[in-house]
Amino acid sequence: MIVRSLLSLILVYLALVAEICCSRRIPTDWGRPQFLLLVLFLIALRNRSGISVVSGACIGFLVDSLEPTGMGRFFLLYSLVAWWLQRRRVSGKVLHSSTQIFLLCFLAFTIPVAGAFLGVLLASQPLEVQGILFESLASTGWTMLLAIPLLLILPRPVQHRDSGSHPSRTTYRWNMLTNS
Amino acid sequence: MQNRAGQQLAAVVVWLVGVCLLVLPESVTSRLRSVTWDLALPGEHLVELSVQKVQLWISPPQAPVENPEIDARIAFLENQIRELRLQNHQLKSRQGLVPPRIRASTDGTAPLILPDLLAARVIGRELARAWNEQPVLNRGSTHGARPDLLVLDQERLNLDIGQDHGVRPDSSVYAGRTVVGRVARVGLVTSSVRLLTDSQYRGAARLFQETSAESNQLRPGARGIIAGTGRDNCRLLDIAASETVEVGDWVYTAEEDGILPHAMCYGRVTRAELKPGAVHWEIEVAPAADPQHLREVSLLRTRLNPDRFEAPPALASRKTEVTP
Repeated sequence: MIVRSLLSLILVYLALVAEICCSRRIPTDWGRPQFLLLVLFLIALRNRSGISVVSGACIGFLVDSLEPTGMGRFFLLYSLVAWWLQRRRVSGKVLHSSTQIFLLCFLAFTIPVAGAFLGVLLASQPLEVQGILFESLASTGWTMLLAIPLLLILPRPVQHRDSGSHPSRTTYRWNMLTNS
Repeated sequence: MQNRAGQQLAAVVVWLVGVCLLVLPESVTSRLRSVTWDLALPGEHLVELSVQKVQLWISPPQAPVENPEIDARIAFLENQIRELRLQNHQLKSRQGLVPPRIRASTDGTAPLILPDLLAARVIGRELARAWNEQPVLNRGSTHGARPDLLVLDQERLNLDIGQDHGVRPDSSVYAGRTVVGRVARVGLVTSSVRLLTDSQYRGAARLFQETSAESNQLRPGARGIIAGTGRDNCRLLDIAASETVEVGDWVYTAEEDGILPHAMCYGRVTRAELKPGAVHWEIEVAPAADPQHLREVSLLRTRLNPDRFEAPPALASRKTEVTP
């Protein structure tokens, strides 16, 4: 558990440094690979501790810090994504590689756009729709270039199939069925 | 069940924190942001070093080829530039664009407080805008430039020195012998200037009148207060109606602290009107310094004179009395 947490921390730090270094070398209009989103995706899909929301929020905070203005937008968006992924994982629905790639592609495009719109709504930041869409598309392209080989290489999270006799698992399945 | 409730509680708490972050003022969020940048700094340096080493390994640097002909040409052009600058200054002096010097007298004693003029480069507006829009710079708050720690006020003139050079708010800013304004905000490595024309600017001023066009001597006149109008000029206030004021009179600083040996020029009177029954003149002043064309300015700092502390006069005299 401790080793896993340490590895996650190192992964997040490396992603942060990589994102900063990329943003210094790639012009803003060309987008940038979303290393932190990729790390969030990997952590949320593989984390069994149930605190993916916190991990997502922390990663979102880092993404917020890289933005020139405003804070809290990506904190909320990333924590929401992490919460949803955690629910998927807890409910035992393991995503296939192709679904993971599609989902990541969708998130890589949607999150920056949603962040920009939140900025407009909350802080009256100027919005250049065309620029943001192009930038988000470019960012999605960069992210997918990195993510596709990574998601195909990495082993898929293990699904617990022997859950029938375990009391806690039984209770949990009952919760899922009753939505309680 | 408890675990699930705990997760839901954690999610709610996290989202509440997120909402709080959304409403936090920029001054607080910039501090939070700087923590992230500082954390990432060692990693960035490591990547930078690695990239540099790889670049050096791929393409080793070549020694510059010395060409004596080009060196001589550069020296010739530099001399030519110096001569042209001198000619330009002389022409400006003849046309009255450069304010005449005022003689300052000293009594020979070393002053306790010494003025220290610190040179600073002006950051252009375009550069300031580009910097503000660029999300990433390669230094942390403990080492240097950071967008959120830079004071890059797009409405004001920005300078490339800040707390790192001991700049303090309200320090005077000069361009040669002319007043530009005062330091408004100080960042870690930059500062912004409240210009003379700013509506919040106030300063002690004194009128000087030319005795004759040929002698280039100035006669001190009435004291007043110079105030920015928020447009491209200033007003000189509190000049009594009994004083003599003419268009073209010079306006200089009138600080009584005696830090600088000479007064600094604010500008020239462009309009002087005394309305019937008015107690004071209505005077408009055109600033001598044009902030649009400034490239380098000087900041006034003060420091204690170290000579005054090496051999204190009181102690020295006592020593001479005791010695037989």
